[in-house]
Amino acid sequence: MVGLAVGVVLAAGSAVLWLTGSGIGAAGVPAAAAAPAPVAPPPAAVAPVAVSPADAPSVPVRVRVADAEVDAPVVVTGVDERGDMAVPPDVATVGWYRYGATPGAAAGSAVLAGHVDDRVQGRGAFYDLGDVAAGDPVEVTLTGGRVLAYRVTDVVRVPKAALPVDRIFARDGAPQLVLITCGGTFDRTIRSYEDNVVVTAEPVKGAG
Amino acid sequence: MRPRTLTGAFALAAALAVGPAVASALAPAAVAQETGSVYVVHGIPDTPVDVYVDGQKAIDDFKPISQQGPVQLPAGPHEVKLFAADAADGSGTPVLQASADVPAGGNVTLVAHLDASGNPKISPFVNDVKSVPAGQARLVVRHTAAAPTVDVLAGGKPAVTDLSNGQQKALEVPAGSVSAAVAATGTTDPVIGPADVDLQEGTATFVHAVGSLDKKNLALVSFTVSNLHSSPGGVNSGAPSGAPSGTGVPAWALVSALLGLVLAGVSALRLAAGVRR
Repeated sequence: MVGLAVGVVLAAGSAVLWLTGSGIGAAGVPAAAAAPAPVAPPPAAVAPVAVSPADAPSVPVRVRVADAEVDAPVVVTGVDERGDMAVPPDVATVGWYRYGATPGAAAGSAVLAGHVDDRVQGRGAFYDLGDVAAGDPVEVTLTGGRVLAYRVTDVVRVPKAALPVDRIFARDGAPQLVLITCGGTFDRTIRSYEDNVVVTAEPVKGAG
Repeated sequence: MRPRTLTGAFALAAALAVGPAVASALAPAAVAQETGSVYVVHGIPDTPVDVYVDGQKAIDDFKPISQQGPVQLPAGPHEVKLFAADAADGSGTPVLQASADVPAGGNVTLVAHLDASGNPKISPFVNDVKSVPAGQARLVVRHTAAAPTVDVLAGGKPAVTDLSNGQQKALEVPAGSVSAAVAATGTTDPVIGPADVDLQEGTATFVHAVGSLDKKNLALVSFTVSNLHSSPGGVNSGAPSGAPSGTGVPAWALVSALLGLVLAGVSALRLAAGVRR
């Protein structure tokens, strides 16, 4: 009898520990006020990839949309284990799809993706991407400090299943910059937002 | 090496529909659909050759252990003859000859190589140039050397096993550099390599083991086909922890609820125990 009670308490205690360990950090605190929660570094599923010196000058390191308070460091990413574009687990950083075009390339689509928010980490780098409007200027800084100027042509919210990936990730055609995050309703059954917010921008001629 | 004539036509595995054959190999194709892409690999050591297609010289002084292509050939059957590189023309006795059927819109490799016992032959292979999943590269390995069955090692571990002369195997692997080697089946002691192979994303690399183990002139001949990339399936850019900020059930609520359950449970147990006493 005593053993049973102790066991129940122990099991419940473990569950409590697990719960507090996994999610109590910034939970319940309004996102706007959330200080960066002291979470352990996430597993290196999307670890920045070493880039050879020859490529180094043309790798994006920062993206800024001043009108929407977007200003974030950029890291190099590829694909995740599901075959989707990998997004950095640190929501404060943005990932550049290294298999697509490099910003500044003569052709193709350069894709930057960042998280909108997270319960543990708070606001993501692209939290305000939905506030971006056509005509807004976008700046992409490359390794070495060169800044490329873009202007937003299009902001759309599309269901994830209908994301036009072949257009977004095109490796030929007119050069463009695509910024992607999540939006719409959060679907708790799949623990994911239902939509993507897609901002398309074109290079500003004569700039950069 | 004993020159010999290989008679008897062979047909390329025509995975794709064969379009109307065009009379001359050198006539310009009317439309793109009526041609196929052809690579040629020369894997017979010490034997430079001239290549004649349908009686016309197509490659002059083709060096051993090298490759050329792709060339577009009209779909349909072609006579391919290999003459010693110093032959006056394509009228004598060829070193090797074969009839190759080029499928319309297809992509094939003709490999002049040694069979397992060291006799020269021409083998056709269909090149798998289907698109590659995002982030990956295709590696196709072909055993076209005078050597027993081999394993292909990637990073020292077998990636392809039991490959024998005339066979090919395809792998789709994450893009990047891989240390590749060839070893006798069941061993890890390289007979070729190891060598670093850079597999770029969205490409297919075709690697041919050629030469002869006995004559200690085994080598690799490879080429890469680009622009086979695919788009990623999507972008999951929300809430890596599985819940968005602000709107989730607060963890303190879960914790206090659980504590309540535990207290209730313990009380119930005590009560039950009391009743029993």
